[in-house]
Amino acid sequence: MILEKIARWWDCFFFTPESPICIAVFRILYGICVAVTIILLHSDWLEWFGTHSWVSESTMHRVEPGLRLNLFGLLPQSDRWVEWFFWIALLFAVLLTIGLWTRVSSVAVFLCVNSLQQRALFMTHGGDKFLRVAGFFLMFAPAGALLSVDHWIRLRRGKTEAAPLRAPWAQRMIQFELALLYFTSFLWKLKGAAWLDGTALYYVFHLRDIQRFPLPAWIKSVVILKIGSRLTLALEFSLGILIWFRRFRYPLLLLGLCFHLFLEYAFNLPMFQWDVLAAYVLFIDPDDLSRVLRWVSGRSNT
Amino acid sequence: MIAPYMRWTGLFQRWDMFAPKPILKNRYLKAIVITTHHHIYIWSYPRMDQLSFGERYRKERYRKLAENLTEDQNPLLLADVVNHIARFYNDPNDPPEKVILLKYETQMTPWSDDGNQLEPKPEVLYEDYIEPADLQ
Repeated sequence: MILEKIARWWDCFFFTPESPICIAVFRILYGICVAVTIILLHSDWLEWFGTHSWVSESTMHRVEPGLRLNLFGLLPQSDRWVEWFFWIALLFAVLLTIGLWTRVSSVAVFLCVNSLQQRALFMTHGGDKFLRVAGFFLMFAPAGALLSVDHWIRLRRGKTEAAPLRAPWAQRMIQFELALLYFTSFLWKLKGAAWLDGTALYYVFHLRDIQRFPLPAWIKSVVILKIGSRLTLALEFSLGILIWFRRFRYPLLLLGLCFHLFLEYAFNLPMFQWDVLAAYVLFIDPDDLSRVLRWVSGRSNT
Repeated sequence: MIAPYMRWTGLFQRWDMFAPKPILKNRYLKAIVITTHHHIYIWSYPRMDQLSFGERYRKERYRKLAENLTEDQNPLLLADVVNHIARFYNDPNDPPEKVILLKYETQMTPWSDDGNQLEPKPEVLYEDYIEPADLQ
């Protein structure tokens, strides 16, 4: 009986068709995040990925052994090919954003993102990791079913309906990935005393290398930093677990948004916050998101 | 058992930013390059706190690499980095002979300083002689 109930819930959660509007908006945001990440790397592209990079490909293989899906291993050893790689990765990120040849573009973007990170693992941050893992599941999602050039072409040819419904299992996997990010961050932090005794944020706010814009002095006061350390734990736990309960979802998304915007202002971690925030859209109810988009497009038309 | 597949597909992950403990030291890197004619050059690794807002956003990857170099102290990575620095001074008439990578660290003491009060002392992170092949 219980097993039957679980099976029904599982089926409903992963496979009951719903509007792919959330995954379509995520595709656009994801594509922009990948494109901006690649553009930010452009000035040092050969320094990271070239034949005379900071860490050579052979050293990468020795330090991080094992078979890896890395297109750089297939390219001829030449900086010209590495430079071409930049333009190809950027092109597919743009195609994914606009939703042209969406399935092919999503596969190509995942291969490029994965290759860039496998090639230069030692300069990647958490936001990059999230892009890589989310990109894997995006390949299987109906990401081009709405808000895409593909959808527009299919509509003109009469090959699809205006509001299609699709099984959201791949979207759910990206949602799980985001929740996992928060929850495992919470668990890792519990292992260290600094987050529990409240000193952790002192170190973070005094780490010169990651400071970005100036902050008012009161933010760095003992009381605020001690409270902040514990609130970080509470928020990460909530965004990992409580986000799955409908009644907490929107307040938590709003708190998470404020949290990441503050981090974006205070700390110099390029694209990290935007990479994570892009996936928030997957937790919005498709009907609510459609209403917001209609409201936005109505305002832009007037 | 599944680790090789996770690595291959790129699904491997670890969310340990600032955890279990945050970085406790402020640090930066410099390198001393000594050429065969005994000229000495000092090369400064990019320091985020000395870059403009826009530049530090683009160059942040250097901070991440430096963090991994100093935390892991993997000799293979350090050897590559030292060779890369040597190539900046690749003058065929006076090629680099040795590179010494230095780290400057200050330990932060919670609630008692701004993490920047002590003058950091240099410590050798890695040193190596440069072979002609390393400059290719």
